[in-house]
Parts: sequence; C-alpha cells; structure tokens
Amino acid sequence: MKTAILHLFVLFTSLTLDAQKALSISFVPTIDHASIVLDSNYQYGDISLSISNLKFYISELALFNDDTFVANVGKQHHLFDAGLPTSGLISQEMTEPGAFNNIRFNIGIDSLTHSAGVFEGDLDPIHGMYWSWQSGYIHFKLEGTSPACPTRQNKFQIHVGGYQAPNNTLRKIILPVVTSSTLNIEIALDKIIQRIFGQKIFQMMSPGPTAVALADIFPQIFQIKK
Amino acid sequence: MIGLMSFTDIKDIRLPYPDHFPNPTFDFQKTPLDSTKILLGRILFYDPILSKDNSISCASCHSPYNAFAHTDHDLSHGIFDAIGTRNAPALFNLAWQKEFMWDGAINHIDMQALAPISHPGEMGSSINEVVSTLNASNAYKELFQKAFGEKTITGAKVLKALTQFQLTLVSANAKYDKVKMGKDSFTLQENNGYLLFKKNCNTCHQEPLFSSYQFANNGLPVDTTLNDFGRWQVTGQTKDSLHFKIPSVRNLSYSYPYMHDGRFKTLREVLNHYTEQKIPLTSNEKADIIAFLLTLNDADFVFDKNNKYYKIK
Repeated sequence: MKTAILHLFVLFTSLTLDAQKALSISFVPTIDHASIVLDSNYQYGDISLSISNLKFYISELALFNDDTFVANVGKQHHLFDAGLPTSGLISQEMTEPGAFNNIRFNIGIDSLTHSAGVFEGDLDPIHGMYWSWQSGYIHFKLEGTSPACPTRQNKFQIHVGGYQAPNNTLRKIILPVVTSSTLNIEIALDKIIQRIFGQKIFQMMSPGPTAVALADIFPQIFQIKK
Repeated sequence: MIGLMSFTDIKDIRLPYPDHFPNPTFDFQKTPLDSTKILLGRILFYDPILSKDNSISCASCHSPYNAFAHTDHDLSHGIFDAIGTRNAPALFNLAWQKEFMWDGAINHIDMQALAPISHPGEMGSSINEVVSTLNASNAYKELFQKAFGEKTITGAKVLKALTQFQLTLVSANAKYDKVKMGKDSFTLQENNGYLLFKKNCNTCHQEPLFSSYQFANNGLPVDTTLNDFGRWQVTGQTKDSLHFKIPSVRNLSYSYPYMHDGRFKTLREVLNHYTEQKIPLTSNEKADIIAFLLTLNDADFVFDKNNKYYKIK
C-alpha cells in the first residue's frame, strides 16, 4: 500500500515537472552597454552623469507567435525599479507554453486602469509613480545628476506620463525572440540620455508634447541581449 | 459561525438616496460599501495625522457643520498658516461625481486625497509618510485589520477607506427633497423662485443634484493676484480657459463664500454677477430665487451625527 502511494507520488511529480516549465525574463538597464548601478558615475561621450532613480511600468507582458497570443507572463502591471534588483526579473510557470517568436509589452499603464481608482501592489501610489496634483501614473521615471545640468543641485528629473489623447505616453514594445526559457532584455538608455542632454530637457513633470516625443523613443531602447 | 460573529460589521450597505435621485456614477458593484471601512475612513478624515506637522485634518477645510466646506474663508488653509489659491468646496453627493477639484484634475475619488496630502500648502506630507506613520500605530493596525482583513497598511487601503466615508456624505433631505417626496410644499415665493430657477439656472445647476458636474466659464474675470485659469491648466486647451467645475447649489447657507476663489460672500452678490452676465432678473425675482435656494439647505445632512468627528479609541 505504502509503495503504491509512493509510486503515485513519483508519477505525479514527474508529470508536473514535465508539463510545467518556468520562463524567466530579465530586464537590464545599460548605458553604453554597461549595466547601470545607481549613484555611480558614468562617462557618456562628453557627458558625465550619475543615475539615482530609474523606475518604469512594464504592463501586459505576453508571448506571441506572429500575431497569435501564446501566454501572459507575470502580473498585468509590473514596476521595474533599478533600486530593487529582483524587480528586473519576471518569471512565470508555464503549462505547455508552445512556440513563440515575439514578446510584447507596454511601457506605462493603460487608460482604463488609469481611471479605475486606486490599486494595491505595484500600482499603489506609495511607489512615487503617481502624480498627486493631476491624476495619472508616471509611466517612466529617470532621475540623476550631472555637472551639465544648470538646475538646482545639478539634478535632472524626467517623469514621463500622460494617458489621454493627444498626450498619451504609453508605448507598445514588440521584440522578436527565439523560443527559450530565459530571455534577457537590455534597456539601452543611451538614446534617452542623448535626447535629454541634447535638447536640455532636465525637468519634465507633466504630460505634453515634450513627454510624447520622449516616449516615442521607448520602442528603440529595448533589445534582446544575445 | 464567523459570519454570525461579525454580524455588527455590515458589508454591502446600500447608499441611501431618494427615488428622485439618479443612479450614482460610482461603481458600487465593484466596490461595495462596508461599515468597518466607512468608520475607518471617518476616523482618518478627522485625524491630523495625515499632515506633516499633525496640525491639519481633512475636516480642517471640510467641516461637517459647513456641509464639509470652510465657511467664511475665501481660500483654503494649510500647514504653517499657508493659504491656498482656491475655495475649499463642499463635500456631498460625491458618488454622483466623476471628476474632482475645481479644475477636474482628479479622475477618481480614490485619488483625490493624494492632492491635499501632498500639497506643500495644504497637508505637506506624502502618502508614503502617512502609511509609515499609520503602520507605527497599533490602534490603526487593528482598524485596518478589521476593515481589510490585513494588518499591513498600504496607500491603497488608506485611500479606499477615505473614499468609503466620503461616499456616504449624501445630502438628499432638504425641503426641496421633501417637496419632491410629497412630504412638504413650497410657499408661493419659493415656488416662483423654483420656476425662475428652472428657466435661468437649471442648465448648469441641474436638479436634483443641482449641478451637471460639467465645467463652465461663468464670466468671472480672473483674479490677477491668483491668475487661476482653471481647467485650461489641466487640458492645455485654450477653450477651457477660466472653466471651473460647476458646484451644486445645495447647502448654500452653510458653505459661503461662493465661487472657486470665494470672492462672493452673499447670494445677492452671486445673483448680481449673473444679471451682469445678461441673465435678466428683477430685484423681486432675485429675492424669489434666493427663497427657493434656501429650500436646498439640508440641516439633516449638516447635523447628521453619523458624519461627525470620530476619534480613534
């Protein structure tokens, strides 16, 4: 009798292991392909800078095969925070995930969620990703210092938000991938740095055309790391 | 058995409102009222713990005796004697409103409290500070446990509790309402005022809530000491310049002064402003309209003991 139960147990365990596979996706922010460590100095061309805060929302992360939906990955809304190393890792137990050749996600929070009141977890306003004076999530936040900033304490503060047309800054990202159980996504901040220092946009804290133009760069900064 | 034990904690309370009211816009199916959350929200509403120096509560500018406005103060007050730029609006019938603040900058009642909590000229704190202060209080932890089934206090729970209490602030028992319910009748003057009101005022101040809760420019020149252009600052569209949220004209006797910057102390001044805006009213007609407006004072609401100060035990 005991043996039978044990057999059953073994059988069940092995079935579960076969059927379930973990997929893990990591997000790694970089400047000039070097991983970002908060509050350390970077020399980027003739710009020297230090990043003190990098947070953004990854939402509706999903696997697709061409245009066919395959599976969701992780929570609907995920807050990436460069200050919390674990927040860059999103993993999902998969039951027969099937083949996929691209992953899709949004940078930011959709307008429906925006108007639906308060939520717990990653959407809780305690994360500093919600504007108090005018409703709206900050989709993407980048803060730091640079001697090139003529601002108080040489700070730059880039808060990209806005969920209503024509100032919606939610951006859809589609990345072609090869089916795998681990995917590493590099977030190359170079283009963002070039834009803010090139155009001297050191303070951005409200929705509008400047935020829209910066958000338009988002689809270019995510790439699969080989 | 557990259900029986928590018999006094009523879940799924229906918001009380009379038949002549429309359905609320707030989604009670998704977020039902709950007596433990309402009580917690009420305690938070009256607790200055929400402000940086423990001096200002929500009720400092939204007093129950003033229909939750700040009578006799044109502009709102904050910590360290700061003065704001707008008149604290009366709070009632919020379950029928979709956008909040004079300029509609806030898109959901849950999110409204973040603005005064964070504003340096109001409570000067932040939701993070509030959450950590509350988490250090065993009494609050118990209240949150009772209301939400969890001891850990989050920003979302603080805001949801405040929402629950504020949703219960229903003003629907003025003389006007009693007339609508067939329990009272207007005097001749009040009735004449009602007819004049329907002809001249009802487009913006739609009965029975006495506001369409839309935004409008009512012709007030900008106060150059404030340069407040209202909704334009939110939408960025010039057509919204000097548009402000249309307030309800219920409870006017309790909530003076009037307008977004509290510039008028009396209803006569308000009506004089509108006659200057080409709404033709004789002096007698103004008196009749005021007689009608006074039937919108809801003493039952203003003196409702269920809305009053309640301290954490």
